[in-house]
Amino acid sequence: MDVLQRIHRWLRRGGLLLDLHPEPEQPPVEVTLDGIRNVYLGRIDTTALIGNIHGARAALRSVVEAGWFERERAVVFDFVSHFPGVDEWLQHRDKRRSSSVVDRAIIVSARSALSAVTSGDLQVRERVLATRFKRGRGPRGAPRLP
Amino acid sequence: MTDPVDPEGNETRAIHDLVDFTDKDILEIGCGDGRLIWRYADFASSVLGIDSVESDIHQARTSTPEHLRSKVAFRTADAVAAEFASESFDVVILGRSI
Repeated sequence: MDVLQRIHRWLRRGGLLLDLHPEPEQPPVEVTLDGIRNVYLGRIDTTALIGNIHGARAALRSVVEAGWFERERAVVFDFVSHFPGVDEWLQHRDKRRSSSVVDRAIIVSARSALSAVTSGDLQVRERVLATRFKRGRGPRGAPRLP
Repeated sequence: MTDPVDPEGNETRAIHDLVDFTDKDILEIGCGDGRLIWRYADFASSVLGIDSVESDIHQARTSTPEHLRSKVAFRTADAVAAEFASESFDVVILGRSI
């Protein structure tokens, strides 16, 4: 809440807040083999993150209800990451310090599927909610933050 | 290897559908290595990306395209503690950061 009120102060009149965060669900992992055949491997365990997502949504609802922001419009889109192999995927997860959990069975299945073809593409598909908020007037009588 | 993230451009279309970045002063909180900034900075007047992870900010600075160096800046900072003057920005972006 406090960060969102600080953002309100930093924004000019009529300014916009654009928030992006994943939908609270477990992203699927798939491989496309030789460009034609899709194989579903399982879902990434994002249980720990889902609590944060619900917390973020509650915080945004609170500042809207309090008059700090007005919710204007939202879109949901597929955010897809593509990797030529399992190692590239795991390196990407390390680089992003991902806190989600990948079941070992998914990694084993992916290695097996990709090793049997001449070209493969491993995909992680997240649905992401993007929401535009307009700076509101703020609650009447609210103290100004330092 | 090319950027494996969102080569379909779904995220780029979504953010441009929601916000007109043209000539705007923009603050991105939790900018990481600048990945999202490269998708709108061409249109903006100025962009400041902040992130609490020093190595990400270093990566963002070193990968800033030459033509954006005059209007894109990065700072290691946490939104909880950062200080900016009131009414400094037209747009604030929270990219997976609350």
